[in-house]
Amino acid sequence: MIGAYAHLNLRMNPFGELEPRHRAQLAVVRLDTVLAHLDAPRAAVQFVGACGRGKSTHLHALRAALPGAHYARLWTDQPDPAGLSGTVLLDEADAVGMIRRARLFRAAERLAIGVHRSFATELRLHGFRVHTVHVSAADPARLATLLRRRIEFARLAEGPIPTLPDHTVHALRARFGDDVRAMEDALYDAVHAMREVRDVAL
Amino acid sequence: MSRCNLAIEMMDPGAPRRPGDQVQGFVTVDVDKSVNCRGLHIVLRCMTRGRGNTWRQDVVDQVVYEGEWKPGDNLVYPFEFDVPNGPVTYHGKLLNVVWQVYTYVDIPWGFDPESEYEFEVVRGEARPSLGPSQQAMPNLPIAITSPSKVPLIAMLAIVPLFLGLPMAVVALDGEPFLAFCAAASVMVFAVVGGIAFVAMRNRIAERKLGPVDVQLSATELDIGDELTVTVRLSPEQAVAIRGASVHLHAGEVVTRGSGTNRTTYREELLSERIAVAEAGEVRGETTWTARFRIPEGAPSSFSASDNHLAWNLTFQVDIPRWPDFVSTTPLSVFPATR
Repeated sequence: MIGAYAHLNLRMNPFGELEPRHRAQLAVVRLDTVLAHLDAPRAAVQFVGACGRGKSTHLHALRAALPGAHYARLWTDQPDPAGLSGTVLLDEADAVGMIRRARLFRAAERLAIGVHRSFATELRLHGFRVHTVHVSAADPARLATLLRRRIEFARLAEGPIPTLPDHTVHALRARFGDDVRAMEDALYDAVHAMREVRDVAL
Repeated sequence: MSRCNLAIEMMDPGAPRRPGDQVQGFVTVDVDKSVNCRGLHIVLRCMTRGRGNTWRQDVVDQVVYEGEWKPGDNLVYPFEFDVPNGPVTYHGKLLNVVWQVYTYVDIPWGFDPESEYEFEVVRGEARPSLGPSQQAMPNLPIAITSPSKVPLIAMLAIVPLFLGLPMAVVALDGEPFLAFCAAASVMVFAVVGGIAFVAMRNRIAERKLGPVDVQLSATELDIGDELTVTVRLSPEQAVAIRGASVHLHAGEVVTRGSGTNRTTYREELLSERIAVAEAGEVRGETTWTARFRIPEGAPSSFSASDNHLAWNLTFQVDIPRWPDFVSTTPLSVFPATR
């Protein structure tokens, strides 16, 4: 077996960029309340949070749970959000122009959006019942689970792989708050520098 | 527990493959629960891994089975692929170019079980593909101007402020819309001015240096090749310069995220600078020459969406109190034959 991280018994650097379906698979999110809310027509869920907190991860997890839903995101090869209907998952909704957003909000039956600030008023004006989820990785236990899942996902074969001790998780929380993306960047460099299987240290 | 487990067994697993070689093996499926398999796919895949957005290209995607699997089934599906002509395997810091056999079961309403096996692809006789991207190799971060030019650039940045601030002060007097227009004008002026400066810089520099002709012996090179750079210029009058240099550099450039959330990361892999002229005067017909050798063990070029391993050659003349002449040429560097 070959690979840049084979000496760590890893297929890849666990904290590199993942494909969306793998992000959904590894997400540590609770969607039962969200899914129950979206069961009714004209229901909207907004995931509110700053960059790197997990809004897109929540939407990808929702996408996996709702196979009939349309996922859209500007600047990608995803479809124009304004032309969608049914159940729509819209990432970075605050970057969509007001007119296109209004067209989408009129056409969608159910909606989940990722935003940096609350769109509750605008959604209610379009007749949606709104459920807001403030996205954060502030819970250390949830954060540790998320990061350890990433390492396990990168496992190459049976046997030991690098471990993420609690003190490293606490150090990450102290340095980066709840910015998961900044933590991933720091851990990427830490794993890249490792020459043998051991605890991941910053 | 998943409904079925997939594993890949390769023939001659550690051997590097050259274009035209075969990758052979078989996929084993152990079934725990009944599975409605919409397709067992075996894929020959080239992809990137690392800090940038993942790029992938499925060279061959074979569906070898569709139908029902029953608990207790142990099944074997052979595969055989021809290795195409590159890109070659690369392992760096921000970027990894990976070849693999990837298999997955398309199961309705669930995560698809999957497995993969990585193998190495090296160069054959012919020069291989350097990646699929049609876009130009990006320029690496270099000093686009000499440190001595910082005051000049700072002055160019301050001018829009001097123009815009009085407008803003007047407009702020109870007119927020005008204040917005003033601020927008300043920003547009600064951006357009900046673009115009970069676009016109070499023309302005050539007013002193005369036409500058930068010739490279080749822009497509193999590892180990020599690259000769010849620069000819003939200023009409003597020109004082602080120096002139040719800079060969290579690095990984990857981008993560999209839209407002895009971040570009850069990692320099090689940087070699040759000074072709010291501080002094240039007069009459002048020729400068620099010779580089693409070092053994250096990585080859690669370019796919959001993932690049770029080689560039930059020629720069530092002219006192005047915009520098800067010319950058992207290079295509091919891997060595092993």
